[in-house]
Amino acid sequence: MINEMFKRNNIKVSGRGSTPMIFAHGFGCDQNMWRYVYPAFKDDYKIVLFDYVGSGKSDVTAYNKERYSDLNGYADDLLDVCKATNSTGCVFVGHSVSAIIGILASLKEPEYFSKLILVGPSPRYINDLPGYVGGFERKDIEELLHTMESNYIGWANFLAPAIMKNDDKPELAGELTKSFCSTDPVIARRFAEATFFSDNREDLKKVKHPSLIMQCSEDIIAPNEVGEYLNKTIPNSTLHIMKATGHCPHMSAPIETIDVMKEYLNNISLN
Amino acid sequence: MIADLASEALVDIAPCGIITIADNGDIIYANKYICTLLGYTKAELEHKSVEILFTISARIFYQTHFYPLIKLHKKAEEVFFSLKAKDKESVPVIAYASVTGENICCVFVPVRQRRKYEEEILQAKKTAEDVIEKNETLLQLKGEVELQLAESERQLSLLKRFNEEYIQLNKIISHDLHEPVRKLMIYIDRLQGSQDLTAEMMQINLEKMMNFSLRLRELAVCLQQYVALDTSKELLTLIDLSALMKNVLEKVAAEDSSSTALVHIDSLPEIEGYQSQVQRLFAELIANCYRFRHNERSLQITIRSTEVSYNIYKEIREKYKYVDFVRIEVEDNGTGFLEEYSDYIFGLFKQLHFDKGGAGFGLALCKKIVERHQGSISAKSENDHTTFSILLPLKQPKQGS
Repeated sequence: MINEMFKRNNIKVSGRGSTPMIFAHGFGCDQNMWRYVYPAFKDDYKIVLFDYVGSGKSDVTAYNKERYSDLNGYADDLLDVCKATNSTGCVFVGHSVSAIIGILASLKEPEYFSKLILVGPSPRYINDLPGYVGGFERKDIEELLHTMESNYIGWANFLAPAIMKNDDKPELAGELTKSFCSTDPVIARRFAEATFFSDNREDLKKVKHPSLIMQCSEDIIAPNEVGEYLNKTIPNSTLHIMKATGHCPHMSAPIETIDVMKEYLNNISLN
Repeated sequence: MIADLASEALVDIAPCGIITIADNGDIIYANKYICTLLGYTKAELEHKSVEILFTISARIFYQTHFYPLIKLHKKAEEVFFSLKAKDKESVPVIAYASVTGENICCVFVPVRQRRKYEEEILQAKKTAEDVIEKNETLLQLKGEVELQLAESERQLSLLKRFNEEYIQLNKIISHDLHEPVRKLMIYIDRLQGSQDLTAEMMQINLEKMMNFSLRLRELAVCLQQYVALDTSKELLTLIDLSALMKNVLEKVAAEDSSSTALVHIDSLPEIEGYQSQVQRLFAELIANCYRFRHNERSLQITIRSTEVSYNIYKEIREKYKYVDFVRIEVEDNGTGFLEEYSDYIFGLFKQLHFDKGGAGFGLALCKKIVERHQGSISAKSENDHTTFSILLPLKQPKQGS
């Protein structure tokens, strides 16, 4: 069972510490996106990296359309990873949609978590005016889905529009994994829908663990207003506005990312 | 001619858009072609964020796909994008990118004609998918299958529970019920066999026989209640858990006047369920808090509530439907139990503390009530805190006739 999980979610465990630190990738990528950050924590933590089913080098045959149409399905993946790696009381680091996935998992089974580090989180991407600015209109997301679809056009038409194992065309799956960290256009689309049409604002106030919100400057996907909203709504949260711009500080500014994480972890252990 | 040009000039007049982007996302250089294509001057593009070039959806795509791709693989090829011209018109392009030192070099080739062709293919594919998606017969069948599966799930969990109960009941009939009967027989034999019993001895023996008879009756009553749950005709109603809990706490406190408890209680939601059973569930749990209180600590009871989503399907594999559950935790600072007993205590007629009264029946009944509501119950005891955690769906699945 545990071996199955390691294969299914392509789990990689490293590091010399005993406290687990789990890194969860966001929509559109895989565990590789943490490669500039996690080595800095290897001496002090047990590092756990993984891919959600349908992303990276996960076992795509384990994909279930009902499970992964809901962020709770991804949260179940995360909890399975916690169980398989025996990671109780972990420091959870989640980028983008994984921040919310981490929150959902921490509400379901709190004992697996001790602190939540949320990189570029957003509880809802679509504006809900006048009270809430998420940054996007529904039509922007529809267009994004269209752009994604267009990028898969070459082979999306070749193969049936269902989830396929690509047994007969392994080179295609391999190629696409290399280019877009996702093995299947239908999976990618469903992940996009689960991500961008989600509304988890109600879950924020239930958060029990201390959390750090790492807010980038000029992040179109999670604008400043969203970071402030999160900080105001999540109990026991700390907001850190980063110098890094864009949505991927762990890739564009890994040193600042590491420093901010370490500072937070040091401060919180002192208190 | 071309060979005469300095390479920089060549880049400037090349028949495709070329830009370089700094690590902070600012455009360092934009060639003539891209400026003309989008209707900007060089000054309007250079030193601006690259996002100025994109439609909103393309910005998301850039941040979630394109940028990570370039960062991880040092290049990107044949990526489709929509650029945004100064006059807001959208311009379809294919992008190529590579990393040079700290900067990203990006090439955009407009694909207006090819795009029209692709749009048609996509549209045809979408139409075909929609026909399947919206086919009424299929939709209806899907709805029916969904209902059937929900019913199968209910039947399966029922069957599983019945099986477990059957095994338990079998043990009870063959052991728990036999034990007092066997002892009664011994005492009856003893009374019959001896003529010279003193009145005092006679009294002691009779008392013992009385106790065994009472135990037998208690077991029978409990068993009857336990089995009767399955034939209950009670209907599902909407239960205000806050009011119910308040009522339970008052009742239990009134019955046990020997001590008072400090109670902290979260606000609890409304759930669908069988009112009398849910009442019984919490009455048993709260009564246990009092019964197993610690002699040296004043009793504290904390009732917490969190709403979370879980898959309603537990028995049917690979079937998922996430629905809202409430997790209610009843925590006390009582005597608790050892970890290895955390499952044992939910067994029928299983007792850890024979000196505290009770038939070892309450928690078994709790488990059955929770499972009848498609929920689950677990317990843990550590650091002087004992917590019973109950998971109940807010709405009961629709039941077949």
